[in-house]
Amino acid sequence: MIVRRLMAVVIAVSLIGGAVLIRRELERDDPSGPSAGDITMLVCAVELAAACGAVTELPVTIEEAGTTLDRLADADADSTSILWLTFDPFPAMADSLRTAARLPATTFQAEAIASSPIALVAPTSVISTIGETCGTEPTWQCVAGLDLRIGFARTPTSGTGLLGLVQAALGFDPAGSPAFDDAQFQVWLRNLVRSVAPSQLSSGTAIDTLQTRPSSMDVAVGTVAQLGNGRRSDFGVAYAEPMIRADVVLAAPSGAELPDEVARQLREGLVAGGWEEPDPSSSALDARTVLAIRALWEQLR
Amino acid sequence: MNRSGWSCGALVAGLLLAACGGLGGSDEASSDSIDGDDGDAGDCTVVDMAVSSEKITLLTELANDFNGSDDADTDTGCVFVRPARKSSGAAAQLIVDGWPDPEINGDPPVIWSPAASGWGGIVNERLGRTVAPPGTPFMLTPLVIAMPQPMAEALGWPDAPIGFQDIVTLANDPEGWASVGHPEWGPFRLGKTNPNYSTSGLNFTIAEYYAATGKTSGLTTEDLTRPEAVAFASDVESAVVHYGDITMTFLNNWFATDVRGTSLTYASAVAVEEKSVIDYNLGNPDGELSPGETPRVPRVPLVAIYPSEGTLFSDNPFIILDTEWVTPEQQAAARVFEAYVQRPENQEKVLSYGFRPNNPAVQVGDPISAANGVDPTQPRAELEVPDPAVLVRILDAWAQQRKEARVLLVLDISGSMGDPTADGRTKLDLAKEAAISALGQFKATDDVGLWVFSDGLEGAPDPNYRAVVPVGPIGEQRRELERAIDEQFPTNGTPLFDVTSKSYQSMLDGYDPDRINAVVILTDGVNDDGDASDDDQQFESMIGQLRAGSEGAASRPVRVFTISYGDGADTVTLKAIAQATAAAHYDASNPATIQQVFTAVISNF
Repeated sequence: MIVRRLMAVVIAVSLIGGAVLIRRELERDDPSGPSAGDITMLVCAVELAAACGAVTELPVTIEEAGTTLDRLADADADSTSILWLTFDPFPAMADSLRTAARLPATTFQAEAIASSPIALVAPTSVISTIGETCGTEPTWQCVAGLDLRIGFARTPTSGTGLLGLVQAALGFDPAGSPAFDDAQFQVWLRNLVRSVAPSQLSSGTAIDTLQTRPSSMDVAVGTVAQLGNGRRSDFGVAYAEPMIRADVVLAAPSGAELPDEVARQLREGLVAGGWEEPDPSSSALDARTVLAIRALWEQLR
Repeated sequence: MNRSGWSCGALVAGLLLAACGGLGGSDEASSDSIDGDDGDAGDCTVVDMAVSSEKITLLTELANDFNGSDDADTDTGCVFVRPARKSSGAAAQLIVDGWPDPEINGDPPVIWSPAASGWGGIVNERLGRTVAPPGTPFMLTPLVIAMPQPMAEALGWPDAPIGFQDIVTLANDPEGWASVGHPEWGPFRLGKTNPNYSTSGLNFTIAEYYAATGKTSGLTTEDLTRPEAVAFASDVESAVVHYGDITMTFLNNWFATDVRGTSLTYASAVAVEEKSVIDYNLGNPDGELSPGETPRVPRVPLVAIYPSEGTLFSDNPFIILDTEWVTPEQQAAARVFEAYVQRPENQEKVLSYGFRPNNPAVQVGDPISAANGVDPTQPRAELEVPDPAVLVRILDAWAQQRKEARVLLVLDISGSMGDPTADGRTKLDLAKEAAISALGQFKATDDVGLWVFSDGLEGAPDPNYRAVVPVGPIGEQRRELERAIDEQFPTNGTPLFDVTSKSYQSMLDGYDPDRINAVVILTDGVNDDGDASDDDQQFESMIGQLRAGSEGAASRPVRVFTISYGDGADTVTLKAIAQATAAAHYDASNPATIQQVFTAVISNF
């Protein structure tokens, strides 16, 4: 009796498992990926929340870009009904993660609608020190050698935090891209990311934390736009090499139409919040490189 | 049974008025109560909040503005926020315990706003899972060392940097303040709250270990066991006046002694949040103005010392709990209020209460100014919040390194203690259960004794009290104390003044300078020794005796902590007794709260 019941269970599990496998194979064979349905939600990166507040056509969800990225990389994620206001190359990173997990790619169509340079923000006295020691176009090698506490936003989740770390990593060797498995590079980057613990970030972003708690760090890495309109006169900005811009993109699933009105409202909101028009000369970051640096951060913390 | 009521005569009334009223600040030390909006929540989604005590007034005001406004309306319905006061450590323990007894502890919260994010990590570490995810900070205030201005100036303030190391050096100097030319101030006395309950106490304890190791970040569990760190922490703790669950106890006592010109000999320094220094100097030491209370500028102002080694911030997070009693709808509703309080106009309110805004759009300004004893350009350095596992180990280590106590429990066994409570048991039954439970909070090397009091006690050398268990190491007599407490039963009247005086004198006679010396008196009645004619004289004599022993550079402070139990207790007198010894009064007018109150009282040791 027990044996027959067990047999029945085994057969049932096999049938269910087979059905799942067949469905996956069918989806993988479909070159167009999942079909785009109606867009039902606007998902905004935290740094862009103010601009999303003006959108009335769609329900809005505010979350860290990295949180959305991880959600979209999940097998159960519905990536076909969201409009995503985030940073380049997060949409490509989502597709890359899904492909790596043998899931159908969403194939986001991303349009750049705003931009702001990644910068070092610090009290003017610290900016002067950086200028005197490292020049007007400081390299990350020089800045990291100044014994300053440098704060990044929570790198695995924050979009601008990750882009800031990418800039630092790419600046390790001004002559070329670093080898990520190089021990010297890893020690250098580890010291950098450990100089300010993420738990010290009381205001979410490093720049906000620095402005509300100047004792928390010496330098914050983020976008110039994050300084906002309430920028304090006793804070200054330096641009480290290589110059990287945080390009804000509005990404829609393949086949879905980008709602013009929403895009217009977002552009206006971003400009009002200190973001600039997109820079056509800005060179796009490679999604795989950014993902690799994100993974490296996890390893080094 | 209380045989007769005691009426406060004119002289006594005058004394009590001076002691208890109109001085700017209540000396009430009961830290946890329900303060939520009593308005009708209707069909709205209710968001209960557990809020640390220093910001309850601010959050109650914000919640009252929010409730019923357009801001509280969402696509899915309205939101109704109910803040309730709960000290950070007490709330942390309740969350770990699954928030039992809502009728005593209040409704379980959706939003928990302790004073600092570290508490969330402690809860998650103790539970082994994340029920308190990282919360969005609401406002900021740094830990400072508050000192009376003349004392700070004697150490070189404002020109010379002062650090934890300087405080420890002075605390350990046998000459005390004489070493810097001020023998009239006596020994260095430190006020520090219990780190299991209070964020200021927790942050100061963290800072002790950083100072001991010379680190400013990366504190490890190994660091805590290094002999020099253990010795350093023990040295700091040895200078402590007493502990307690809230910093307001120290500030109220400082303020009360300021009236009499003795504040410099009550405490030399107290670890508090910057906001408390502002409140004190504005004449509102506990940050809450009671009805009819008028702020009074102190004679000796406090100044905030920002330790040169660095300090820690209280970041007041809004932690939206992820636990079985919180629904997704409540979490969504909580986020609506979370966004509301971050708005610039509400962050301006934060500033008006003396906290630093978390929204960078609102810049720090008045009242955070030198005129109020604080410096908006400070601190210049910070200490890193340790990992949760290290925080838990710090609390464990503190339990061993804290200053030892010498405590006499004095329990009322008058006839009225036999009155039944709501659950059918007598008041004495509940008090005995709470007292026995509280014994577990002492460490084995603490000295604890027990007296019971009523009049006409047969077989006792003094008919007004019985010394049931002499003061001795609780590690050796815990069972005896438990048994003795359990054996008590209601008898006659309440000779409160006589027994307060005698128990105090007994502890003063055996005073141990290396321990916190204290009496804890629990009573449900008014003084009733069968002769009301000399009550005024008795009261005056008792208060004079308590003050004489507690004031001055050479004082041998024995603190008398009092508990008003039930609704018939003479709270005014009990407050006056506590204040005369710079201790604290606790309110257990609802007998069901006695367990909670006993826990708060024992947090002083």
